[in-house]
Amino acid sequence: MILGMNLQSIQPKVVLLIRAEGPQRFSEIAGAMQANPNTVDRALKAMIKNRFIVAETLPGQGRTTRVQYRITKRGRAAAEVLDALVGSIRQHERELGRDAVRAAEAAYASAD
Amino acid sequence: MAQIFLLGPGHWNNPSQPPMSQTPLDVRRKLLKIFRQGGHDAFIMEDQRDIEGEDIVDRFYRILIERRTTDVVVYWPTHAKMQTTHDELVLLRSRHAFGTVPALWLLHDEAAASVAKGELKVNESPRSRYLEAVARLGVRSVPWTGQKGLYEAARWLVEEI
Repeated sequence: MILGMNLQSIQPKVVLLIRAEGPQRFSEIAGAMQANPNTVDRALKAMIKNRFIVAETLPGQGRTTRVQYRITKRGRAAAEVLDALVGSIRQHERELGRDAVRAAEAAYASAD
Repeated sequence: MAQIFLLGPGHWNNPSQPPMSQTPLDVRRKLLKIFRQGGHDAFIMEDQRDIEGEDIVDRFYRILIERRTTDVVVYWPTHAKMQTTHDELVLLRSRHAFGTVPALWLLHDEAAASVAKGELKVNESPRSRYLEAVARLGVRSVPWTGQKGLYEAARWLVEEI
C-alpha cells in the first residue's frame, strides 16, 4: 500500500489511465483493464473512498445518472509518486537484479 | 479562493428522534467553518440579507449571482427534510437553461446515494427524479460515512476545489 492505494490491485493502472486519457466511463476502464466488472467496481470504490478519483455525472444526459471517473489532485500526486517509483526501479535495475525487476513488472501487469 | 454556496437541510425528519444531537443547520455551520478555515468564502441562504419585495426564487438567484458563486456544495444526509434543497437544485437546473452554473458537489451520506458500476443511484426514495434533473448539470459525488467522515470529506473538498 502506498498512500492508501493497493499496489497489487488494478488501482495504480486505473489512476495512470485516467491521468493520461482524461475522465473515463466505467466501460472504458473495464475494457482497458480487461478485468471483471466486479473487480473494477471494487477498485473504483476504494479509489473514491481514498479520494484518488471522483465520480461525476455526465452533463446533458437524459434520465440516466451515468458517471465518468475523474482524477483528483490527490490522484495526480499519487500518480507522480508511481512515476517516481517506476523510474527509480528502472534506474536501479542492475542492483535490484534484472530478472527480479522483470518478474515484478510481469506480476504488476497481470495484477487483478 | 472559491465562493462556495452551501445548500442543505435545516431540520431532521423527526426532531423528537434526531440521528444526532446537532441539527442539519448546525452541521452546515460547521462545514462553513471548515471551508472558511481552508481559505474559501462560504455562505448559506439563512445568513443572507432580505430585500423587500423579493420572493424566494429571486432571493436564491440574487445570492447565487451577487456572491459570484463558483461552487455549490450540497450537504445531503439521511433522515433530513430535503424538500427546500431539492427546490434549490431545480432552480439551478432551470438557470442552466440560461447560461452556465457553478461547479456542483454532492456531499452525500453513502446511505443517501452511492456510485456502483458507473452509475449514481439514490438510496433514499422517492428522490431519484431530483437527482436525475440535477445530474444533467454534471454533479460530482463526494460520499461520506459518519460525522467524522463528513468533516474529513469537507476538508478534502477544501483542497480539491
